[in-house]
Amino acid sequence: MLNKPFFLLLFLLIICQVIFSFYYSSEIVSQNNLINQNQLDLQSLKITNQELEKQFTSLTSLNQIQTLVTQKNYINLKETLNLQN
Amino acid sequence: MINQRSKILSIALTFCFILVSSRLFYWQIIKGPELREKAQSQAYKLEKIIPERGKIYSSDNFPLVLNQTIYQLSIYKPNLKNTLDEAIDKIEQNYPDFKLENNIAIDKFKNNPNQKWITFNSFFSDNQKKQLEIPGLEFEKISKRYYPENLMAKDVLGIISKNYQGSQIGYGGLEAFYQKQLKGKTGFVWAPQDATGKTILNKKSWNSESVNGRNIFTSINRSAQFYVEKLLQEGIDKYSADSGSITIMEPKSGAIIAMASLSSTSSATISSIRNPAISDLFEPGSIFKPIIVSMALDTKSINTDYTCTQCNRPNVIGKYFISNWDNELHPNSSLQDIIKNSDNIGMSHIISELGIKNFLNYYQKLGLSQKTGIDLQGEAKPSLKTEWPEIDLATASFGQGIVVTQINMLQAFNTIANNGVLVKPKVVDYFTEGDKIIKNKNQTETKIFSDQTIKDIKSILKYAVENGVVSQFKPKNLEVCAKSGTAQIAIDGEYTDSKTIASYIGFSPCIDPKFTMIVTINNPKTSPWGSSTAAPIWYELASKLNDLL
Repeated sequence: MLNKPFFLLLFLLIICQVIFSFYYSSEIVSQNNLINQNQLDLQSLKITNQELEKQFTSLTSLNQIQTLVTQKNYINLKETLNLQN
Repeated sequence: MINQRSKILSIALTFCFILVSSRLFYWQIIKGPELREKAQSQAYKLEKIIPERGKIYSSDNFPLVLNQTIYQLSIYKPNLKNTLDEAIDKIEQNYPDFKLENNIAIDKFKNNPNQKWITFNSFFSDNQKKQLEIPGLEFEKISKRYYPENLMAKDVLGIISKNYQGSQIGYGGLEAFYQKQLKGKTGFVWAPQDATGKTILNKKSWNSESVNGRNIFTSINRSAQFYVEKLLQEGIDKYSADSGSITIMEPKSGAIIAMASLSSTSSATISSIRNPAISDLFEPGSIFKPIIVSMALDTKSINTDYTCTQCNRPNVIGKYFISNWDNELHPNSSLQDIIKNSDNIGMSHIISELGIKNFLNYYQKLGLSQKTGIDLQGEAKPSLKTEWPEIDLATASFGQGIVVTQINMLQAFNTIANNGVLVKPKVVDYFTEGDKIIKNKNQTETKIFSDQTIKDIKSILKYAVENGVVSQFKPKNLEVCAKSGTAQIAIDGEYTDSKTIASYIGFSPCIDPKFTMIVTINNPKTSPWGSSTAAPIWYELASKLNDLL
């Protein structure tokens, strides 16, 4: 007689354990996925930041300014020639 | 019968129990540690976190060296969904000139059915890589240095390259000297991984944080460096010289404002790690004369009223004759005129008044017999001979028979600019690590010449500039204390007039100078003299620096 409620209780406990395990492990998996995704995003942002820094410094370098100055002189020269024509 | 059976059964059970127990003992106790290790290596992974190498900045906080992440492409034929031609066309759409760059490699790869894998020497940006995420194309992530100002200050910066272990390390310049500070600290993560190899972070994870390399903030003035390189290259071309070097120093702190060495065949890529301004030894020639005069004045071997009564004839020492560079004689020259005329005869008499003991004492105190200790890799140690016959001492008075590096000479001459105090040259001002600022340690300062000596020598140098042949190059608004020099190059133990090192060294203004600068032009062919090759470059730069600093 005692066996029935005992087994019932045991069965319920096992069910609870399984449900809790499923919930807990899925929580861990989703948390880990989130961390992994964030790490990838961070990596991607770092690379984007590097690219932007590279572009910005290239555009503001003395080399670039020198090139622009040379080009401007060339344009001025062309305009002078056009005026003469 | 039943008893017999139960006996057999219990023996069998006992036997089985012992068998299982012994097997369990074998696996768990004897093989336990080994299996635990195997299990852990399958379930856990050790991940290396590579730190970002420190960047290098100029004095206006503009980056001279940055990091960039690029990707190297490989193709694995069996994984391609489409044909190889289609894959290459797709790459070409995202990376123009890919076919042109890898023409031969592509042809070989196409025509060799046994070759399944190829790695190309083309590098892709992150965006280009994202556009090319198709089966069969593999990208390897590579971290490289990027130079926004291209080859500017290449000798100062150095390069990074892989060593024999495959690790990237610095070679030459700042990259090598500050390798430890720039590289940072590699981090590690020891954590369980899931079936796909992703890290599962839990309490049993262990990690050691990676620390990015320190950023380096130099004293290199970007604009000054730009002009130095531009005018030096123009000068080398104009005077048909083999090569040349220029170094500019802040007199009080010893901070290097600009440093460049170029040659008529300068490479368009960063490949050389040798910096001639600190690695090449040369005979300084007449630019050494003000140092000798300072020594003689400081020891009171002579005074400012000195007159060279023997300057009416060449100085004869044994079988040798010491005459002047222009073969002219300047009888009864004053100290000022000896420097103005760059009089070798007068200088040889002054050094004999100074004497070998005093000469060597000051020579060592001025750091001319040792490395300056500048924070750049590859500095050469000047050699100092042990035997000093009279003729060698006499020639040393006009900078022949002694060898120093350009940075040695600048450090010694800067002592005059800095009121007799010797400061060691340095390139790095400070480092940053996160938000933390770490000042570069200050070098020790040593007083070498008295204030009176400095006052006298400055007055002599100023007189020489204003009344000498170089006065034609001097802008009127500029006060300059400087000296030109032309050193003959010894070939097979004999000095020759055909090859010279032309130099000009000085500071401006004479009182409280903003900079000390040395210009060295190797083997100029249009004119051998420092006063007509190195001096014009010096003055053109000085007028620019006057506005910049």
